[in-house]
Amino acid sequence: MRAFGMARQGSQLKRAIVGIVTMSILAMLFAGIAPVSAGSKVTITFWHGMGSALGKTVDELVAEFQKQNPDIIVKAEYQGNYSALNQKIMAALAAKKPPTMAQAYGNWVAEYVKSGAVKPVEDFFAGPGGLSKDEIEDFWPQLRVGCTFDGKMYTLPFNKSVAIYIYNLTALKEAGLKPPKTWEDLLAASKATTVVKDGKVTRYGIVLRPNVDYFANMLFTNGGRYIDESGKKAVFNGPEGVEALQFMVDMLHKYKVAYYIPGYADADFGAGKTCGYFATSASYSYTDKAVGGKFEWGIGPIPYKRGPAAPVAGTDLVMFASASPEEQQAAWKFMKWLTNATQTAHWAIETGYIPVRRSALHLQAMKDWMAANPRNAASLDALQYAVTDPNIAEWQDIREIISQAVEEAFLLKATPKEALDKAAAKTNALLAK
Amino acid sequence: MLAHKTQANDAARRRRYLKETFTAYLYLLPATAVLVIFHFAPVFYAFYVSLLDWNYISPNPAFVGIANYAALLQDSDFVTSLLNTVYYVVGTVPTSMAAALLVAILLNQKIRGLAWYRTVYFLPVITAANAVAIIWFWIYHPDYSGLLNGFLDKLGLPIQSWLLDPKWAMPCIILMSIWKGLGYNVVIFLAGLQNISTEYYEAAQIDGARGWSIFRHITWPLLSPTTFFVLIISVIGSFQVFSQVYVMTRGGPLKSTLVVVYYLYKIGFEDFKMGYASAMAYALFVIIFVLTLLQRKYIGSRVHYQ
Repeated sequence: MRAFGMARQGSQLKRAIVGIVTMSILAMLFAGIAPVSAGSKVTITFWHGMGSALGKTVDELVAEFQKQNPDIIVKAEYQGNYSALNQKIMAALAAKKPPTMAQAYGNWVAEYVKSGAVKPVEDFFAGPGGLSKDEIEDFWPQLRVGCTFDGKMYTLPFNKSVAIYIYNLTALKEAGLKPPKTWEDLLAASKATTVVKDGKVTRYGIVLRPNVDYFANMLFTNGGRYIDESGKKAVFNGPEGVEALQFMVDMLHKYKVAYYIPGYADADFGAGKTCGYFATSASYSYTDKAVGGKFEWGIGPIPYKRGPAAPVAGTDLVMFASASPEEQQAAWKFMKWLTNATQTAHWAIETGYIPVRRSALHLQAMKDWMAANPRNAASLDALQYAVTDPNIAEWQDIREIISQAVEEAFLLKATPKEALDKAAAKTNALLAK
Repeated sequence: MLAHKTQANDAARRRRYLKETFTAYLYLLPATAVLVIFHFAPVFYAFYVSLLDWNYISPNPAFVGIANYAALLQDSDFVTSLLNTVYYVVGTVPTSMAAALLVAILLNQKIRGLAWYRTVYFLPVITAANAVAIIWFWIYHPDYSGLLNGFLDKLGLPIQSWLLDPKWAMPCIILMSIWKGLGYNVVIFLAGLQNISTEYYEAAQIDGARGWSIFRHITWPLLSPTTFFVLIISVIGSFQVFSQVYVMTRGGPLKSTLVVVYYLYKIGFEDFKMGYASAMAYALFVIIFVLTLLQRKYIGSRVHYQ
């Protein structure tokens, strides 16, 4: 009796297994057939690092694109901050399962390109769905340089922000000063807004950060550059660079109108501890939140010595080589749409990033917005002076080397010249490899 | 007849033995599989990777032999990170152990609110390292608004910039780590203390021993297996310090808190030099392994087992 029961159970089990296997095979067959059958949808994945308000704007753009292109499904996935994004892309590439496309910095793309992981956008320029010569040249030339590797355009510029100076307008007005335009103005404004009580500084004119980006602001507005045309020799330790670093060190230690912190400065600015700091145009919403209407504030281009300059930061759109031709076509369509004049203007208005195409500035929506927001328009004025970071794989290392030099000078462990000379020697050694 | 029976018995016993062994291995299989796949295989794979020049995604990594290990010896940042790590270990382990022993002895008394005190001391241990580091970040805030500086200022002492000062950054991290890790060692010491039979204390008291001499001649020697265990795991754990540095200083200022595991993380997962990072991991493994053997040889021999 018992044996009989077991046998029956056994045969039930067998039937169940056969059923499951059959169904799985059928499911696999259907899954294999599905993309080929007519009227089907293509799914592409887009990994990005746009959190909170920025991420919401990405989702809105994706929804709009899908409405216009019902045959394409875009899965936009937030991966955390930029360094997490790069780590996840690298891990996904190692596992041979990368997303269809992603946001990426130029120096990351250099690494992906070296490993043959990128499908160059230039491959899609020809033909009816491509980009004309005029359209390509409509992208800011400096941004195109950042997307080009060995003479070929691999990526499209996407979220680019420009360095700006943020100031406490209320404090400046109290001091009877106008927003600073030059280094001299900046020093005067910082002196005027620094408050000392009982030998303790209760408010500083400006806050600095011991990193390469703050140094870059001073270096470029002093007519300097990181690396010479050959791409093999560091020139940031020339007189322009030394003077730039000396200016920051003097604000800290000689005039005592500045202090420095390693992290973001918007909280200190909002709390009224500092009357000014450098940020990027995309940080507008963070500053607004930190200030919370406690005082009037404004933004302007980075004050200059030799001439205005606007260091540009931010990522480009990269497509991965492992995607199927259908997915690549769909991703190309999305990338092209995302960076056209209308969308890039919309993106700029929503986020404070810059429009990546010149023609966007002539759109009515953009003009209206600039008229209504003169504060933000200031950063767009700086665009004609945009300068970008070198898009070489060694760039991450070089950034750290320069940051280290800036920190040494801030801590008075070395003079600006000594610190930068040492950093230049290390950089040259890296570039020579 | 008899021989035949014994033979049959032997065969049956053998069958049972084989069956039991098979069952045992079957039970061991899941855990073994997990260990092999997620621990041992990566360990050996990492050694292979340490012989490559590889960015982790390139399809054709270059085999460079021991070049990564040779480069380690030339890398001044690695040497710095090693010295900083030793500084950290020397700063945390002895102090943390002494403090934990003291607290454990206090918590071993019959006092009111014992459970509450034990909970309080264990709370930092179960709090996520990142959350703790962020709180301490505020304590060490570099100006007058920082908690620590606020106290100093009230006492009329000069304020410090703590984590921004190459001289202070490491002591700050050490202090926080001692605070965070204390409860764990306390619990182990407490278990060790409660393991000592009360008979020893009673006998010693009858012989007229009091206070310090009880501790010196009864508690300390009988606690030595626990102390030795705490020492070994503290040294191993401290050599692998990471989260505090990652959250609070990122190795700065001026590399004054650059420790080996943080440097390894930076090389491997920010610069993506996997071969070099793996070589560094193996170097750290060898250092910890040798240190553990030395501790066993020189300190382990002085441990009293009951």
